[in-house]
Amino acid sequence: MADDTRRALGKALSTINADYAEMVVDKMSDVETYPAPFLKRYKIYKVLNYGTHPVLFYVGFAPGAPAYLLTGSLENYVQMAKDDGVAIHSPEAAAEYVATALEVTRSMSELVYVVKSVDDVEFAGDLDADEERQKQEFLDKYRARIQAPQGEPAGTGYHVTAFVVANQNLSRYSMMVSTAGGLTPEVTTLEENLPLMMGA
Amino acid sequence: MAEETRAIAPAAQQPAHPPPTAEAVAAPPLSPAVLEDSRRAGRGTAPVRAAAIQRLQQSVGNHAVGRLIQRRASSAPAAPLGRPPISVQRHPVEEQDDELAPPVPVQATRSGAPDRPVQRNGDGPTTTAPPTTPAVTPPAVLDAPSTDLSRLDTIKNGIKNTTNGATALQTLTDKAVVIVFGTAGAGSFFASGANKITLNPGKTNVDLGFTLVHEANHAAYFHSKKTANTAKGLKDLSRDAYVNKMIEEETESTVRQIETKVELEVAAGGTLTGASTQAGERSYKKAYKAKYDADKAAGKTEEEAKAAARAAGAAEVKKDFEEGITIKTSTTHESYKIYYGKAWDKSHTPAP
Repeated sequence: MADDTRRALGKALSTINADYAEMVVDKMSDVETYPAPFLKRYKIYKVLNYGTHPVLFYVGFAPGAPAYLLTGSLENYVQMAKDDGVAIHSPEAAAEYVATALEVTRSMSELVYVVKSVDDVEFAGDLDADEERQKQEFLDKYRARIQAPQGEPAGTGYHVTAFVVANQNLSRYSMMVSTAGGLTPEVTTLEENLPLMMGA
Repeated sequence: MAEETRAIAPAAQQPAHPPPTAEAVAAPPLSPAVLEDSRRAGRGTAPVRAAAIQRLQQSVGNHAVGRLIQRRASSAPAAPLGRPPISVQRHPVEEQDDELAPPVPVQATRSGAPDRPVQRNGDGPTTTAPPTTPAVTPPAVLDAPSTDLSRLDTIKNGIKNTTNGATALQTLTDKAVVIVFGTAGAGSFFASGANKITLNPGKTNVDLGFTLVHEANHAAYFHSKKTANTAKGLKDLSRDAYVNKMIEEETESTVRQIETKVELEVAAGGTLTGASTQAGERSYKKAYKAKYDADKAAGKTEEEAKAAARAAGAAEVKKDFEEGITIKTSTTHESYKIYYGKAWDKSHTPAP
């Protein structure tokens, strides 16, 4: 990442979050772009600061435009897309738009990830007999259900279904996506207290 | 395993806070005017402002300072300290003219909101989030850290009667560590340079009590010069030595966090309302029980069995951090051993 881009990003962030602005220009940080081909002007930057805990956050930024701290804020993601002039015109583009949203706005306090198949669900490595049984039941139940984010036409926009693990829970996200990038999410908790990997 | 649907919506309000507690006066009194002065000085003086707040908290009490900050908020809306206790992000998800996607405030940052603010819907299998049209706030003031002193009191009160909680609170006072609430979902961490703990306001107060114990232990390591996470540590220690020392620090912080929860569970006689499973908790409890049962069966005293069980639990958590058996970093999704190795590598890589 070029130093001038870092400086510009840090300056833009300084009015939003001073701590993160400092991390952007910290030599113990990695800054890289996160793929978001549907954006025209904005880019999404992934910032990783190496400290006692790894601090990671995503920022949407375009030179001369407002920066958006995306981590933890689906609203900011949509606002950035609106500023960018995003246009979603296919189910595939809607699915990609939602998958990106789920990653760049995810909570950093727990292990959150989008799963494309049941095999992506990360079980803990020390399961006892009861937990092994719970795992097998889960795999049998969801092998045919869990799939990669998929979009389909719905009204004037699209409907996208995605499956997300957050620590010990599995949820289904049903997102209505407008052609201008608007999102109406609905979250269904499918399973809780699974013996899965945890984030710290 | 019944399905439960949650429509994303503004989070429920936090329960009423308990009465304030007496605060020890550990620093000389400080004029409230220092808040005004330091705020004018701009963001580069954040540590100074934070220290000023803490000294005022210690001299005139948390609530007095909270009231002061909130009064000043009304006259200086854009300053970092002159804001409501918790920042509220109120962007509609889309503008009004989008028929398909009515605006929904998905990420409203408020006291007590879960990471992804959700509202439980009691009955139906699926419910769509009700569209609302909150006021739009300019992005320039969305995510600055804030100080919610009454909420902090609630969090501290939750842990103050536990062994590790009391130790943590003493450390925070003795070392004048500043505590702020950051951005919901963005994680909690101790920043040694600013001597500041940033808490994720999206977690419950009970969980934040455990987090505070954890991060206070990092602060204790830093102030007692035990941490390897310094420029000198990174420079002087070998890769393996650095990784091992960092894992030891993380293990101790996590074990203190888990033990605090266990202590409160015992006091509550079982499940603790508002507490989620902590990272490493399963490993710790399994190892603890196995060792305790074995030692009791072997005729060890209760005290001996508990001490050995705690050690076994801690050893299992350390192994977990090393091998990533049940724990990964929540940000980079790798074992802490791998992460700390990368951190060491990063510090030994010349800037391009």
